[in-house]
Amino acid sequence: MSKKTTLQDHLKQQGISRRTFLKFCATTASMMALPPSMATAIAASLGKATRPSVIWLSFQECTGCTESLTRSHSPTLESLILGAISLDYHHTLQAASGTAAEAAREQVMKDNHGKYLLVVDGSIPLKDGGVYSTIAGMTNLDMLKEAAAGAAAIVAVGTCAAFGGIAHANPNPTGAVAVSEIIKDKPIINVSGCPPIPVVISGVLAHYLTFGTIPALDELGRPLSFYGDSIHDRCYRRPFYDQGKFAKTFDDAGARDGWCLYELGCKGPTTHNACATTKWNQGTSFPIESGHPCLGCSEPDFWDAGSFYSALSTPSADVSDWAGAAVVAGAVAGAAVGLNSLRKKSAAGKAHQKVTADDMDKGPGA
Amino acid sequence: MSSLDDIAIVVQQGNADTDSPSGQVLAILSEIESMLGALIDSGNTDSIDIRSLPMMPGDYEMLKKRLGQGEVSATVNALGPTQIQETGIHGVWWVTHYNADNDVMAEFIEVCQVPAMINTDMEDVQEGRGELNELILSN
Repeated sequence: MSKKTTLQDHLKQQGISRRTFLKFCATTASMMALPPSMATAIAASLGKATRPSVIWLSFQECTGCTESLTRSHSPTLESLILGAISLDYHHTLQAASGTAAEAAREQVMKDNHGKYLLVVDGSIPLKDGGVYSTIAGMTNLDMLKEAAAGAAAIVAVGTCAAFGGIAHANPNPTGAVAVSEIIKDKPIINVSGCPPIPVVISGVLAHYLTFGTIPALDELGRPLSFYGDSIHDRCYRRPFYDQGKFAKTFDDAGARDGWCLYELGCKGPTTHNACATTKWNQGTSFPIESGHPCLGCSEPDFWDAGSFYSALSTPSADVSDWAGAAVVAGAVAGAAVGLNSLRKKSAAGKAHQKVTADDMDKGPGA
Repeated sequence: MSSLDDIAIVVQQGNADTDSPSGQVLAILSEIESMLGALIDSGNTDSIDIRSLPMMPGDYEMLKKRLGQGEVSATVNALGPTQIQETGIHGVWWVTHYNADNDVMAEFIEVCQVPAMINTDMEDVQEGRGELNELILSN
């Protein structure tokens, strides 16, 4: 299909009526977290939008971000959006491989220089000349620089591309960094999350398609429409927090009554994402609704921000700071801890054993 | 998605039948009331994106119950059904967009005389007239 085809032409060719288009726009507005009244504006501009070329580069990643996008329910708005863009290179999804695929990428970059949208998932390793991740013999660093040069804008999909993510976690053996650490002269939209919510990925693409501009961003480069509120602000359990009603263990009466998970380590108050309203798995639920604290996966360095099961108010001191004190107090503390855990174990045997946040901290065998 | 529906889940509805509406439901009802005021005073239509609201389990059911069912219901078949139902409050419509798999794609409360999805666009009317003329000429 010609790249000059507008989205409305594209839809008309598929026998899609005006009402369907209206529905598409209403659901797109909902998806982009825009006020419903924006549907008319979307209809007007989407009708005229041409299908932009998109190059999707996957670097040091787990393919979870692509899974998130492609495993959403179908037929979907996401698939319509993907039908509305011209996805010209995505090495997981494309049929071509090897030299042919790389040649196609270079051709697209040349034909659409300055106009294509570059989507990146995964971090970029810099250590030892970037040898830890290469595609067709080319380091991620070189490929990113080359592709970014002709891009109109870059969408960094997932926490790895946006902030370095898991690969960036201490001790960061590959020297992994975010896209924004390397590319300084192009607009970058960070769509963080591990993985990001599928409609957030397609919502950002829809925004670009609709308005031809990048959406308003927060100080971390994330679209405000999805990352403007914290999980805590939009959480249906928020009233319990305000009333001071907290679940203390994963199976106490408070947990069963759906009380706030703050004391079990919920990172909702410091995490900005749309999970609480957009939800996951066709709008079924989100982690907190399933009884688990938010891990804060859309925030920088979430992997190194202390235990997932420590309350935010718990000071997260560096382990090395504790080491010295532990050596001094070692002999005494060792015995005391042993006695204490013995006492705990027998008490737990008598009563029903509750799993506490502390137990989760200690890991298996605690 | 049928596989999710296969999982037996007991939904606790809260006390939708007996209790007074929760704070969240009351707030939405007040918002709808002021939208109706705007419709009466200036003819402005408005809508609420239901999925953008943080709701407690049971709130959604209670809201639907409180608004009730009116006399008009319509289905538009466009990339899967769209269910349009006038609520028990005149001028307040509950619009649910489904995809072809019957998953809810978006859900709105619309405050208007007729939801835009039902109206026939003038361009479509002209196209319809053209088609009818061709039909007459061909006979």
